[in-house]
Amino acid sequence: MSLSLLDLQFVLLLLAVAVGRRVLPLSWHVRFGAVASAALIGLASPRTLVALGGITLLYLLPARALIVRAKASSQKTAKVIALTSIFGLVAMMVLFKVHLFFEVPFLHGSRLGKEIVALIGFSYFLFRAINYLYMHYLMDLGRDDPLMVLYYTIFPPTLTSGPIHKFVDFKKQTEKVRQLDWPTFRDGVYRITRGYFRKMVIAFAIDGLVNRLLEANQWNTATSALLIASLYVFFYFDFAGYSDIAIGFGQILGIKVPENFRTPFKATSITEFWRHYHITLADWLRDHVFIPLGGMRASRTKAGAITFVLMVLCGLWHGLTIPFLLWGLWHGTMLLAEGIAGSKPIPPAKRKGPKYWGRVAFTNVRISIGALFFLPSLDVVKGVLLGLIQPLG
Amino acid sequence: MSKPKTPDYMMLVKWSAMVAAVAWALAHRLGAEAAAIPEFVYVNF
Repeated sequence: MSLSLLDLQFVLLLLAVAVGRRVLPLSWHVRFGAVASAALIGLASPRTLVALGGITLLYLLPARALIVRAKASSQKTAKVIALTSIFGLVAMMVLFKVHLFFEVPFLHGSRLGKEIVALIGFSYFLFRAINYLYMHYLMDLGRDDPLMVLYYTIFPPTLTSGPIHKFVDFKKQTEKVRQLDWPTFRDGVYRITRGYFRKMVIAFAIDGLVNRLLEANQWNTATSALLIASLYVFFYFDFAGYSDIAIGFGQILGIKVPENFRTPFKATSITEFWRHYHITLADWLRDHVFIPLGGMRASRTKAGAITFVLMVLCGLWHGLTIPFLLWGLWHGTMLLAEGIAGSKPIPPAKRKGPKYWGRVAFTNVRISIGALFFLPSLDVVKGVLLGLIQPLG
Repeated sequence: MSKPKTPDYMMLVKWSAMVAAVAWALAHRLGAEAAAIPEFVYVNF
């Protein structure tokens, strides 16, 4: 069994947890949720449970206690402790990425290799962990139940691929637990179904088309344009579908998971696109990196430069490869240019007519070209781009 | 003004159509291969 919402065994056990939650008293919600989630992860990958549970209970909780205690006497000391413990988590993420990049190809198929792959959502876990410590540094959140913190960091529907919860929202929800009613259950099931439909029917059909185009390896204006558009649409349906499934399962488990996509195809600039695509990651980067670095009060150029560096890092976060670096540079450069130019989204009342649709098309074309860098080989990327200027026939 | 809610029967029709499509995809083993993809960014075309 894997920790994926596409694994039937995992899904059935998750449904069993939802049923268990429904029949147990509400006061048991958090304790049951945390223990059942830990059991589920332990069944799929004991090593993952040890790693995630260990970091939560033996690293996050003591670090939080130190931050809170230091805040009472010296804000400066609290800042040093918070920064050090957050850098510790960042170091874990970097080590994990480097390890994944260098080790997995040689360990493919081995027990250790599989265990590492099972940790694939590690960076999403660390995003939540960093949010937990940072929020305790910024705010006075009172005492935490350790099991609630564990439930937050390992919440199964969002464990491997997000959306990324904010700790404060999660905590509030666990304090005001409601019993699952029919409309919530019905909407959750609908959302799950839509997610599977998007991922397993639409995305997979497009994946088939992409495969055929790549196997044929014949690039001209039509095939290159078709591949570029298909890749973009594939990534949207694949990831938005997975987010739908996670949100739906969250609903039937009594936790409202934040939205991750809001019609990104209608964006009129790259800046606007990133406010509607993988929203929770963009929000996380804004709250934990952009704002602390002074991005909100900085000049347009400095804010643009911070965004540029963030996008390059975001590219490398996807994988330590040249195509991902180029993806980061591509998006970073466009965001930097828009930041310096002070680009503003078109107001809702003016969202019609050729000018509006022209900007929408221009944004989508640029995003689609960026999607090309998700192809494994730079030679293919080059071939496809050159194909765009090769006439048909 | 709030957006009118989709009637329940329309939701049921859409839901049934999606369930049928997913079942069809599974029957054609599309889902089995899709299930092997652990995370979208690691898709190997």
